[in-house]
Amino acid sequence: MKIIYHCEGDNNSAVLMAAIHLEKLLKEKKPTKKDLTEIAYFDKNFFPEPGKILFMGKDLNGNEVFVFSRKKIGLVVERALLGIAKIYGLEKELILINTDTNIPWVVNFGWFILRKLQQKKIGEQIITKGVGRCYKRNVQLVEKIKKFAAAGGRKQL
Amino acid sequence: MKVIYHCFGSSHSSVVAANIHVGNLPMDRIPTRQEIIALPHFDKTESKQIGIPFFIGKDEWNNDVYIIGMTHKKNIVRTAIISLLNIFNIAQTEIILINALEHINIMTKIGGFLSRGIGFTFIGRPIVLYGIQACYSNLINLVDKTKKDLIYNMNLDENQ
Repeated sequence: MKIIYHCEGDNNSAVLMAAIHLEKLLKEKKPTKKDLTEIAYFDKNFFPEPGKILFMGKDLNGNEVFVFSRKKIGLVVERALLGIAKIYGLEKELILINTDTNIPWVVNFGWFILRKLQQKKIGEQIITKGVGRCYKRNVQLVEKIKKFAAAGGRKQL
Repeated sequence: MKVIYHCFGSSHSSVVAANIHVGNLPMDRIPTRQEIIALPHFDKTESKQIGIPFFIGKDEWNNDVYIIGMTHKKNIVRTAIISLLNIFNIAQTEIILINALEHINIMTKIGGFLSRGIGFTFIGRPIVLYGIQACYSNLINLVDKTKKDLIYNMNLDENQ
């Protein structure tokens, strides 16, 4: 099964979800700034080419985890990729997850400060706060996705 | 092999080009308005269907011909599709993506926007039909070039 997290590319939320999925971040504890730096979450240029799907790793059940950014056309890309997979009869091998909605506005605000105003220290601090706010919810969502992948279905979340 | 024609909303230029490719529309004359309107998917795709690949038919070498809408971010969708083939270990030569949007005139684009974009079908559709008839030779050239490329690729495969 291929599990693909995709985001707009402005807040790297797909990277965060992939890291939770691959258990690079602890489930119980909210991540600190250092943890997020280690998974390259603050990398401003993580997605050099929008649309290109990047391999992140394999989880314990043998599912491959990917991420990509796709600007503001999430639904179009989802339909296109599922349709192409369907042509080859592979739609059951693919789970696409839109991660934009799982992130509170605080994180986007922090990214604005980091990206546009070039304030690294303040921006990273605000982002860490924001990620802490939505962390529990995202961990639960990843658990759901893992269960779903184990059941072998296909669904967009 | 899959031949995929893409345009903005998979309702006008890609439909006509794909139907010329499979032989539903003539290559030697300009089709009548009725012939164009009768095509499946022509001026019918809803905005929530943009992105779904629609099957149009098979060409003379048994290639499947599809249409797909990519809005104005075609580079991203194309990159994503090619990446997806890569991660499933499908050869990139299995799919040919052809942009039909750059081969039509401004009239078809305006008519398409009126008809599909804001829902004024009664004004937009006649403009689209007129525009398609005016730029029909461009679309014939596009299909001709695509078929020549297909033949060239098939000859390469045979020689290997």
